Amino acid sequence: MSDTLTSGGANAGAGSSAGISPSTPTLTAEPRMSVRSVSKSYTSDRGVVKRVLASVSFNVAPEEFVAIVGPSGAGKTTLLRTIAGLMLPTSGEIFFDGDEVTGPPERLALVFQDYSRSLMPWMTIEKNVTLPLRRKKLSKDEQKRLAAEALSAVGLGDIGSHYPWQLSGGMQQRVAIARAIAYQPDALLMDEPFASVDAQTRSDLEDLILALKKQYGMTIVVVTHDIDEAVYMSDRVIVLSGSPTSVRQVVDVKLGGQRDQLVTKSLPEFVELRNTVLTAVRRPVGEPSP
Amino acid sequence: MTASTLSAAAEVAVGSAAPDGRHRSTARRASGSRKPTRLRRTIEIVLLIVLCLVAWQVAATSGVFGQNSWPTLGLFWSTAVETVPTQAYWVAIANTMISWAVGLAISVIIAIPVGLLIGSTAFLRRLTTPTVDFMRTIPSIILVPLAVLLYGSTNQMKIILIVFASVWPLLLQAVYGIRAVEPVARETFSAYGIRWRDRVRFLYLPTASPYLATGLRLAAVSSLLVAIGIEIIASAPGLGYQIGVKQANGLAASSFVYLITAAVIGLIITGVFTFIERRAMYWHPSRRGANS
Repeated sequence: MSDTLTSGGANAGAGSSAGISPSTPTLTAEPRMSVRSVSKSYTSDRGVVKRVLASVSFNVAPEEFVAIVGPSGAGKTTLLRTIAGLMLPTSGEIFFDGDEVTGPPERLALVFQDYSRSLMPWMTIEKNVTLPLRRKKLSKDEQKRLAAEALSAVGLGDIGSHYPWQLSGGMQQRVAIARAIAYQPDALLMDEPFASVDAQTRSDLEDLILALKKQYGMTIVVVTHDIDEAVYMSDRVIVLSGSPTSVRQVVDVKLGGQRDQLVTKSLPEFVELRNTVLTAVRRPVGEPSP
Repeated sequence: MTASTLSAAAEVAVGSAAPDGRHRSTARRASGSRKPTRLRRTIEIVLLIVLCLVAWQVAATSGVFGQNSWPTLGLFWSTAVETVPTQAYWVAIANTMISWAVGLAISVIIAIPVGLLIGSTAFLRRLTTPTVDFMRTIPSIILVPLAVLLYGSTNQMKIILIVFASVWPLLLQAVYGIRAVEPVARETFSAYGIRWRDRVRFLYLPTASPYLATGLRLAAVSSLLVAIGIEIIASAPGLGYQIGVKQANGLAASSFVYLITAAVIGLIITGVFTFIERRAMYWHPSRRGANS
């Protein structure tokens, strides 16, 4: 355990770009996403510069599932928003499918934690799901078909004519996921997607995402503060350090392609992995890193 | 009926947090739970009107307000029957309503685009807030002498003062409306690369619409108040002028006919614009499922 930690510590900073995990099947392919020495600073109204991200680097392979964890206050969300092209890095570059990200990439979909605000209450479920499709020059029928397909893929039936606020929280988040799927992205970014739903719904949604990933072959990057969730779902866990954030450790999750809430979570490998990740997350901010 | 069924379904869905999507509940609200309330409300309103009419008659016959200054119900009714078919009556209404409508329309055309622009730009907001806060506290009545000096006692003068009174509530509501756009919603729109036109149509206008509808209701009522008030003060043609002139000439009953007419118009305007406001807010947490 301490071995892993030390090597992780040595890895922290710019040098930790870890590359593509050897466990991923598509080792030879070009990375889907490439984050290269990305830093991000904010300047407050009083002119104080706050450094949130300090030289973060990692790659994500096609069809890989990467979970990003870190102590609260680490710039997890900032990092995800930068990858999504919603904000530009202060320095460094992000590449998506080989192109530098200067705005939201077209083949990328985003799922937010706050489903009640990311779904428009004045639009029906169907309108919400087809909203991003307006960009794609599809016929109305084609849009409706994609919406119906996506809704049934997330386990929601014929609810297109309802409004988001008529559904439970878990169902609303399913709608947000359906919207992302209907958009047919190459990659899905999720920011604490299950933080606002109850525990049972949460594990249902975790399994739903794993099933959808298989079905659609998407690359998925999820930011979470739940270490069990990170290990359970991902092929690789990237542990961030506290502010200013850099990659502290990268943990490969070799649990195979088939995950099960009961079986996987009781495997000794799972327990060991979650302890590794937890220890890395908990390491105090002040601890020296090279 | 659909709304209440849906809200019942939503309650069931939230209650069970059913993750499987089979939320369509067959549960219907126990029918008849609303009817007695509505009936009682009607009875209350009728009672109130009867009470007011009795109070009117008592006030008129007791003579506490002096001789001939408050007409009895009978006199009021006969005067109304006499006045309503006359051309003067309808011209007065037309004069008031035309200046009201034109004034309100100009206010909307000015205030909403300007308010949306100010609301979406932090710099413009900082620049204009002190001015707007100052200007909106000025009662338009004190500008009457100036406006009369410039335009005389005309509909044009009235319209200018109506615009001055109505532009501020609309402007402020537009600013609040555009500021109410949720950052997460905005990010959702930009993450999916939704075009500017669709952002206005599906995000900015819907978010702002309840605010705009409230501003419109406030402006519609205040426009009428200003119109009639100015007609009384500046003797501009309209209902207010008739109220003032009849009163000055000791024609209390006739004055009351115009007064009640103005009140009824006010009620109708409030009703119509409250309805519009509710329609604009069908999705709003405060109104969900309340109207069909």
